[in-house]
Amino acid sequence: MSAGKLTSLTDEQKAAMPAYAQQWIERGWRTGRLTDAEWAEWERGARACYEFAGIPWPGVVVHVPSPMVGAFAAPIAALLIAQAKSSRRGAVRGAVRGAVGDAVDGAVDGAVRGAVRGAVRGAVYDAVRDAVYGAVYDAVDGAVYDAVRDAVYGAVYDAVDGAVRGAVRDAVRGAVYDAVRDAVYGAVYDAVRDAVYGAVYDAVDGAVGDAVDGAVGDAVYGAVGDAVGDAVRDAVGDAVDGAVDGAVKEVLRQTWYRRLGGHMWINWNAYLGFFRDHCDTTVAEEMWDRLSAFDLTTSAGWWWPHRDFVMVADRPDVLSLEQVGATGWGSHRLHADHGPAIGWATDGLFFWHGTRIPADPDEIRTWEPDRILQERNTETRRALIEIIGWPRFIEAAGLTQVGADVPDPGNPGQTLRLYDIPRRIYDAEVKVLVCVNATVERDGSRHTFGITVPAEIEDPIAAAAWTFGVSPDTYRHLEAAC
Amino acid sequence: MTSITKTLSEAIDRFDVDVLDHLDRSVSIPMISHIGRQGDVLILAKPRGRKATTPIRAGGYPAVRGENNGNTHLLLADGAAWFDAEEPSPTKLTLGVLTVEKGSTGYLAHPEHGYLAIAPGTYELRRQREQADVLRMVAD
Repeated sequence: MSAGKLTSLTDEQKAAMPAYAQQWIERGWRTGRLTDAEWAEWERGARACYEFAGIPWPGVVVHVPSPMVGAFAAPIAALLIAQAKSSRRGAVRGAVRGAVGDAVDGAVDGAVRGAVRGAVRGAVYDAVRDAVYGAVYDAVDGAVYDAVRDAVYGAVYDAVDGAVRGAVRDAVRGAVYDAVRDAVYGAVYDAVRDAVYGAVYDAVDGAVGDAVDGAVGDAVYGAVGDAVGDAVRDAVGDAVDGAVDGAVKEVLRQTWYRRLGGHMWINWNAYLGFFRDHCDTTVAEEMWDRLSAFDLTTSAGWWWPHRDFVMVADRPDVLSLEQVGATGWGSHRLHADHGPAIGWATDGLFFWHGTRIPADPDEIRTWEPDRILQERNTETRRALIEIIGWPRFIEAAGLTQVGADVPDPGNPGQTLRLYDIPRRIYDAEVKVLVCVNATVERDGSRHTFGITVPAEIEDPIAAAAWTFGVSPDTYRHLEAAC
Repeated sequence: MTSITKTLSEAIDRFDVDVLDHLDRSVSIPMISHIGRQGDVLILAKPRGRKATTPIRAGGYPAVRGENNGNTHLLLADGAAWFDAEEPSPTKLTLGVLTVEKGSTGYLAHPEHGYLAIAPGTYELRRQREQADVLRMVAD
């Protein structure tokens, strides 16, 4: 027990936690690209973080439009710089052209190339330019091919080591986040920390960290995984190209995640910040300066601190979440009826009630039900079914009706129907209740929709009653629906 | 039923809350005193329940706020009515308690569903849920 440790929270401090968390949530949810003034503030924070870490500021800050672009561009830029520094200049043209082109599609591809060039140009432009635009095939062609292949392979892998060493995320994170956390842990009792963690960290994590960063992280991890997968590697026929391609993949695999989270990891800033902003602790003022510098970097997205450059992703243009639980872990998830649930200038991700889907919901609505049945992942398939709508799907899939049509209480002339859903089609034990709206649409038709209910329900009225949590007898007496 | 029912156009004039223009303005608004439904919201009489105490102000109270404010279920009072809001969840679907004073009429208005009139009494407003991977609330 050390003197001066914070042992308890006052009622005022406890009462301040929800609003404090909310303020950080709002910050984590901000959309729209950073202005020049905001970038300047961001850079002031990042630069201070480097200073705290004792790492010289590289002076090259590359803004990328999205985390996906940065996850590819930062490792590849690092590889090219390391390659140039080892003065083994050959064999890297394919780095930008091949792996990037194959790994990511159209818009992202262009942005990655631009970002790589920006980083390379700023860091070691002259040295690396020839390497980027020089020709692997000029150096390694025809007759000398076999002789030099191994040498090229070796040079490329030296560069991989250099590129990995150049990523200084751990050092920067250690100097800011870890240092502040340790100081707080030394000055605050466990029980107090747990209370703040529960009320502040979890609230922000549920709304921003887990909900947004978790989903984006999975998507980027998937894209990187696709790019470095064996199938892709095996498909590269040329041995030299294969070596270069392999190096890019190795660097991608090892360094894409050596990032700091910006607005998507804001839960940490909120948690530690509460002790700075609302508690009287023995934590040294200098530690709070570190945290405040780190806070400045939460205006933008993921960032990749390297020795030779800093790459940072802009904020999303679009962010759409739904609340599915009380404040705390699991409170929010990504969802959008139209367009990306999170989108940047070059790319976006589509989510349906938290499930990643392969295309814009508006495009999926034009798909034939057969195409949806071919989707192998059951969770994804369920999302796709919901998007095209149960009525269309029931007909196409030939689902079996349970019992007869029954009149819909309070909705004269309309019926309720219940259908069984085989487990091979859907991954939850449910039936689907098909209802017809009481109100007509503009064109005179009525919207027909399906609601999934627990599988043990055998009667359409009981199913409708369950959706509102009332008894079937109560529901039967519905006077009017509109 | 002793309360006088309004037509849709009368209600729109009274509250200055419009609905989609294809809905027939001349029809009488349905009135409920026991149980009614508007899209994904159920209104259920609770004659012996606790009365609500928070007055519904002139501009109405959004019992359910739709995305971008587009599909809000708005509670309105012609006379005196009260609504105590609660935070609904998939396991506790209650949106709140509504009390409509004797001689008054409550209304629930929605751009796509029009108006539903609510006779004097105390009611529970409930949301709709579905069984997905987890229980979740329906948004229409």
